[in-house]
This record gives sequence, C-alpha cells and structure tokens, in this order.
Amino acid sequence: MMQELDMDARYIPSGNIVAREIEGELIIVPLIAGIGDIDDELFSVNDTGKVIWDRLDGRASLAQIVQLLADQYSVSRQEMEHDVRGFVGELLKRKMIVDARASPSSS
Amino acid sequence: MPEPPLLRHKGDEADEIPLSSAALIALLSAVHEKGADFRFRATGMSMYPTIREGDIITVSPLLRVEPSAFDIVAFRHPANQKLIVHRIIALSPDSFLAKGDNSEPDGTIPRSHLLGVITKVERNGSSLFWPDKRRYPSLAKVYFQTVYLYLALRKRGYGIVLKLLGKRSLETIQ
Repeated sequence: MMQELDMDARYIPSGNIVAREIEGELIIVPLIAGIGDIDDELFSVNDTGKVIWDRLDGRASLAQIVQLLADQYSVSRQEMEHDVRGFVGELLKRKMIVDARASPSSS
Repeated sequence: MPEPPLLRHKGDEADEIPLSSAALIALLSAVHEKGADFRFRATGMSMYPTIREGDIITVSPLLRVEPSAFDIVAFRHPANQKLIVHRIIALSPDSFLAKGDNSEPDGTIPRSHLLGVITKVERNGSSLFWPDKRRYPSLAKVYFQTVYLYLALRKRGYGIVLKLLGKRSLETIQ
C-alpha cells in the first residue's frame, strides 16, 4: 500500500545520516546512537533514485519535483508520482529525510 | 526514467554492496566528520589473534580519542592508499610506526594518514576487551608482552611450548 505523503512538503536529508557519492554510487549510512554502522546499516541508491535524492534539498515540493522529472524524462505525471511517492516513502520510513519546515536548520 | 528509483539495503535479498578501500576511507571520514563512530567488518589476519577475519571493529574519531603507543588505529597506507588497521608501536608529533600483531612493520606513516582509534572489537556477537593502558598500564604491558611472546613463539614453530603455556588461555583473555 502506498504511503500517504504531503505532496506540498519540501524535504531535506536528515542530519542523522551520511550520504556520499562514492565511485559513481550514492551510499547512505544512517547514524544510529552515534555510530555509522556499515556492517548492518548500509544503503545504496540507484541512478533513478539519485535523480530524486538530488532534488530533496528543501527548495522544491514533492509535487514540483514530480512535475520537473516528468517533463525531463517524458514520463506521465501519474507514473512519476507513483515512483517518487514510493521512493520518498521509503526514505521517510527509514528517517533519512525530514520535512524542511520542521527542521531547525531550515530558513 | 529507465528503472524505478530504488533504495537498496545491504543484506536484503542477499544483496551485497561491495566497497573498495577508498570507499571505506571516504565513508569512515564522512562519519567521523559528524563526530560518530564507524563500525565495519575486518578482513585479513594481520592483527591475529587480537582481531580476526570477520570481527566487527569500531573506529572512533581522533577528535574524541588521542592515539598513543600500543593503540590499534586505522590509517591510510601512504604506499597503496589502502585502509589498514594495525597497532602503533612508536609515535612522534609528525609520524608513527605501525605493525600488525601478526605481520611485518608498516614503516613510518605520516600522522596525517591516521583515521581513527579502534575502541571496540566484536566477535560472534560478544565484545572483546583488553587491558586499557591508560587505566591499567602495568596490566596492559603484561598483556602486550604476552601477545608478542605468543606471536614470536608461533612464528618460530614452538608449537609444543605454546601448548605448555596454554595457547587457549591467551586467546580467551582478549
């Protein structure tokens, strides 16, 4: 079942992760209790996911990201929204991104 | 877009995310920049018996732990740029000498290549401890001398001597 998301929300990477592009691959390591544990908690993001991740910078809402990517890749808005919802829902579930409005560092 | 976006978790569906030494160093440095410890699985036998293949090592950032002689540290080897976890055997303000407990010395390493200090080793789900030389210097000295005696005897093939000394007892005091 697809997670309910506020498509007007703007998201940014959580302060409790390390995300680095290493050798062409985006790697994410959550910091749990002050430990970056790559033995148990190591994630990689595929190229399509990285395109979405790069836009999760607090400047564009999810709806704007969907529209932008649908135009860029000539994909239907509906199909793109399905993909973005699924990916962003997974990031939210793992607390890798936070709502920029709720983040103390957001302006 | 060619394929759906995907967040892949190491361990899911037997997926493995292979990391090179350079990638490990980059991740370790990024995690340390946030003041967090870095935990990863050891490979190789150069620190046997203290660290074995498959042990889980925790590397603490230099901001929190000041390295000193006999500490096990992580560093980038200047010759091959690989991530190495070995013991400091001598330390100066600019450089240090390192050696695996079960390998030849690494030579002089610039201090700028230090990445962190090993603060925990886990094996089969249990934490391994050895005497903290800051709190128990005499006990730590005896421990390290015993380890080196064991390694020297093993290298020279004195298996019978090791049996008499009780090799197993050495391994269990870690």
